[in-house]
This record gives sequence, structure tokens and C-alpha cells, in this order.
Amino acid sequence: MSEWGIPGLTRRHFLEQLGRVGGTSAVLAAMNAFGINSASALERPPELRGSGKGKKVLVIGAGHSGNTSAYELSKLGYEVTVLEARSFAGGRAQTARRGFVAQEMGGEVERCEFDEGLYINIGPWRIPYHHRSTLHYTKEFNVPLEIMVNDNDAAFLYAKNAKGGLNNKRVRQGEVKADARGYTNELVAKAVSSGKLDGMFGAEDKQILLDYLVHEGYLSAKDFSYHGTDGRGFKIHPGPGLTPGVELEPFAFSDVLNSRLWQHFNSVTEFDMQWTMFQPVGGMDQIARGFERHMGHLITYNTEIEQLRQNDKGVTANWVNTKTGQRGSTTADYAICTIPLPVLHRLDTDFSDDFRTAMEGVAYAPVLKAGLQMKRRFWEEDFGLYGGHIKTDFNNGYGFYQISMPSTAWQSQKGVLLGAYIYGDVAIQSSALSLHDRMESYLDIGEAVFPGLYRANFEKGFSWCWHRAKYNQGGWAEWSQRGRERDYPKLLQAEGRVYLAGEHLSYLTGWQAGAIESAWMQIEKLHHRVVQA
Amino acid sequence: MKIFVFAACLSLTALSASAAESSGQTLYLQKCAACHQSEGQGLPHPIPALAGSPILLGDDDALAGLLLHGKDGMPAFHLYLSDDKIAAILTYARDSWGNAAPPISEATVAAARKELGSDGIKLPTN
Repeated sequence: MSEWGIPGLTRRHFLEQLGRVGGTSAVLAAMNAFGINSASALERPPELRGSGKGKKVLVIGAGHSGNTSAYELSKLGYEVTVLEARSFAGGRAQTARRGFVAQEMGGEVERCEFDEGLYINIGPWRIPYHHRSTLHYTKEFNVPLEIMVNDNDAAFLYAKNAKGGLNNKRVRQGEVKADARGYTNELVAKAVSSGKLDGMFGAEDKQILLDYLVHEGYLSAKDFSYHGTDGRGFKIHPGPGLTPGVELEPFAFSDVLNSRLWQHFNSVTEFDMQWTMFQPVGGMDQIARGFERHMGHLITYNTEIEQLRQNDKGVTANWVNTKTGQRGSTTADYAICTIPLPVLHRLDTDFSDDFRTAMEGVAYAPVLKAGLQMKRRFWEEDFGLYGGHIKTDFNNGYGFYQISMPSTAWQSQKGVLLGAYIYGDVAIQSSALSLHDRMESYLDIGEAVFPGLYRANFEKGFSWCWHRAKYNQGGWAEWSQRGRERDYPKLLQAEGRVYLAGEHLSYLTGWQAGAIESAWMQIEKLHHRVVQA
Repeated sequence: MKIFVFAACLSLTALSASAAESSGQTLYLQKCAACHQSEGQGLPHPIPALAGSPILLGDDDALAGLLLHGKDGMPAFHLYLSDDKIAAILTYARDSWGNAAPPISEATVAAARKELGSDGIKLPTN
């Protein structure tokens, strides 16, 4: 089957065939029908014609945007060199596992000491089904994927600042969802059936609306009342013999409203967070390993750029080897520079004032993540929670603190919880603590949700904050509206012979797809320039 | 009488503790020191020192605007901190580690926030 369910026919193939028969307008009509005219995301690398033979390209940074650029340009015949400051590829798409050593600026040296086979993705951790660019490379590089459970109706919600009977009570998302919708549907259905909303729609629509409300909210068809539904769970589970099961009773509507736990879900999940969500088997760094297998020979590691210069002939990067202290320089016809803007802004370059100033339109997001190794998967064994997120009303900087359960190695002995994923000033505040005190604060939150279990099962943790990472200084670019209008367009343009690339040059900031697609955009510009010259 | 005095002392201590929580120093240590360090000394590269910083000691409006908008690795604090807290932090930093510049008022920060206008950032999730 193809990606569109038609055996042997891909969408592209279909459009090409249609174009031969019906011309461009037929193709455009079909694209509209597919809904892809409005899609901004690129699905695959640009199809570039002509050769880059005899031209040198320097790629700065072996994250996804740099590696994508290098891989695709080398296929066109360019002579590509990638310089990477770190001793490994992948940039922020990293996974901490046993042996991973890192040090934040001004921080302690931290060694990940998880048991063999356990890990935490300290950078990106989700690949939504519509990030076709990321999925293009996982497929091309044979990086096995597994489902990342990004929503779980069985997972707990926990409020500690709410009014009403659900405060400080562990409830399951499905219970709150069913009750919030059931009771609301009951109210609307009763208003409709009693004629209070007559005049807002015709008699025929009125009956259909009632049908919908009964269906969607599990209401009684007789009197439109809501009395719960089996989907919210059982007091006594159905079983063999004389065990039909006893359903849990619904919460009071007022308690559901006052708990504000409805803040954790919507009618439809936001686009970036929808099912089907993927993750690479074995950690997000498997994508970087895939790149390395195909273009790793182009990368020189431990090479930190100290100075970037250009003239009408080419670009020169002066660098220092961070292991040996040896200095040197690399010259090329063009450069793709993927250094995150906070770092690039302070680098010694001969960029124009205008170009450099444009980098000030952006600020980067402080982000901190922590993995907590637990000696027993109590969330699975005791509560039947397989993946998903426990959501609380503890502040995590952007809203709600969540604890995420691993979507891998189900039913094994140990597991690593994502015990903190925090942002903004909360992340800054947490990063000011010692590694030990950070972990204590995350354990306190988990203990509130899992009293007697969370601390008792904790073995070791690893935390990492991107705003104190020397080569990043933030999790991702946060563009203001003014920055997008005034500064962003300037950075999309080549600065002489230098093209920038990275998630910061996309509307998918913080996503691997943003990094990959920005690279596709920039190499296309670069290549057109070369073949037109 | 002794008991009364003791109780009065306790409540005074409690009062000053809660005042300290929102003081410029406490806020600075929570929201800034992870990068700029506890004595405003910054980090060799690339976090600027605040002791003697010409930007910190310079134009009031530009300084307030910088904190609200963010720059490089420094986040857009308009998302996270109220005007009075930003004013308290800046006032503390301007009067610490050998710095001696006049306070920044809440009104100055409020005006800078107004200037920022709709230039807010939509918070992404990843």
C-alpha cells in the first residue's frame, strides 16, 4: 500500500501522471483536494539538477540541519566539510545514557550513570506523524521507530491548587474528560429538548443535534441525563463467572469544573501533539547515528569555530581543536552555518551590522529536562500506566508540570521517567540549584502524586539545561512577532557566501523537522546560485 | 510580657522573611544567578558580567526593554516576571557588586512593556 492507501500509487506519482494528462491546473486542483496547497511543510529534499562538482562547501555544526545540508550537497558532487565543536553529532537531538558526560556553563560535571540500556532523550523526544521531513530520514537511514504514547486517558491528573472535591486527589484523565463532556452535553441537550434554543436551528437539525449530544456525551436517550460511562473505569473490573463488573461513579459536575483539570485536554489535540507520535527505538540520537552512517566521514569533531571571515572568493573559518588546542583554518566557496543564534551573535565574524543586529530579534527558550531512573516500573505494575503523561498544576514555567512515562521496554524491571521538563524562569530557577537539590525538588513533586513510591524507587537521575549549554544557550528560538517581521527575513537571505540554517529559521522552532527543512531551503538557494553562476 | 515580646519577634521575623522573598536580591538569585552568577561576575564566555556592565548602568528605558524582550540566551522576561519584580531585580543589580546607579521604577518597566506592545511571544510546546 502507498502512503495514501492506494495500492502501488504514491501521491507524487499520482500527481505526475495527472499532470501528463490534465496539465498544471488538474494537478493544482488535485493538490487542493489533498489539502496540500495550504501545507507549508516540505516533505522531501528539493530535487536539484546540475552538479556541484568543483565547489567546496563548509558546513558549521553537525546537528540535523548541518548533517542534512552536508548529506544532500555531497550527493550533488560538492566537496563538503563539516566542522563540529562537540565530540559527537546530533546537536540538541541527544540522548543521555550510561557514560554520557556533560557540563553546563558554570555547572558541575555530570555523568549519566543509568543502568545499561536505560536512557533519557534530553533534547527532542517526539516525532509527530506529519513531520514528514524527519520521517524521510528515519526511513532513508533505516532508523527503527516505535510509538511514543503522547496521550493516555488512564494517566493521572493531579491538582493541588484547585477548589472542590478533586483537589489533592489523583484522578484519571478519562474520568474527567467523560464527566466534563457528559455533564455539558446533558445541559445543552436539556436546553435544546425543552425548546430554549429554538430559533437557532431548524427542527430537523434539532433532532440531529440531540442525537449527537447523546452520542458524544454518553447520555440517556430517554431524559438526556448523564450517569457516567464504562470508559471512565471500574470499581470492580469485569471478569470471569459471576463478575459483571461495577463501574466507577461520576464525579460531581461542580467538582469537575472547580478542579480546572479540564485545562489538560481540548476537543482535538493541538496539531504538533497528535497521534500518531513516534520515537526512534533506543533513543533520539539514533537519527544522528543514521546521519553518521551515511555522511559521518565528512565530519571533523572537537573543532570550535573562533572566527568566520569571507571575501568575494570564499569563506574561511578559523578554528581550534578543543582536545589538542591546535589551531587551523578551513576555506570553502560557500558556508552553511548552523550555529544557534545566541552563540553566532557573539562569534567573531565579519557579518554586516544589519545582519548581526537581526539576530537580536530573537530570544532563546530556557529549557531543562531531567530523567529519573526508578528501580521498579510501579506506574505500569501498580496502576496500569503504559506511557503518556501525568499532568499536575505545579508550575513548570509554561503551564503544567508533567511526569512522562517511558514508551519503551514495557514490562521490564526498571525505567526512566521524564521527571522534569520545565521552561522559562522556572527552568532558570531550577538550573541555579545544585544537581542534588534539583533532583530533590523533582522528587518532591513526584512524591505528591505517588506517595510512598516515587522516592522509594528512585535510584539516580540526570538533568540537563539547554540555556547553560555552551554551544546552544537555549532550547530553541523564540521569535516575537516584531522579530519575525523585521529580523527573520534578513537571516533567511545569504550573508555574502554564508547561509544560515537550523530550527531557528523555520516556523517549526524546537522541532527536528524545522532544522531539516531549513537546510533543504538553504541548500536549494545555494545550489541555484552555483549552477546559475 | 516575655511571651508577648517573643511572639512579637517571631512575627517580625516572619514578616521580613516574606519581604525578602520578593526582594531584588532573592529574585536575582532565583531568576538570574544561574547564568550571571551570584556576584554578578558572569561566565567567561559568553555570559556578560553585570558588575560594571555599561548596559546595566546605562539608559533606563533601554535596559527595561532589554529584559522584557530578551536577547541571545536571555529569555523574554515579559513572559515570566511582573513589572515590580523586574524593577526590584534591576534596582538590586544596579546597587550591588560595586555598581552604583539609581533605581529602576516599576513605572519605567511598565512603560517599556507598553512599548513592547503586541510583540509578545507565543509559547511553543515541543
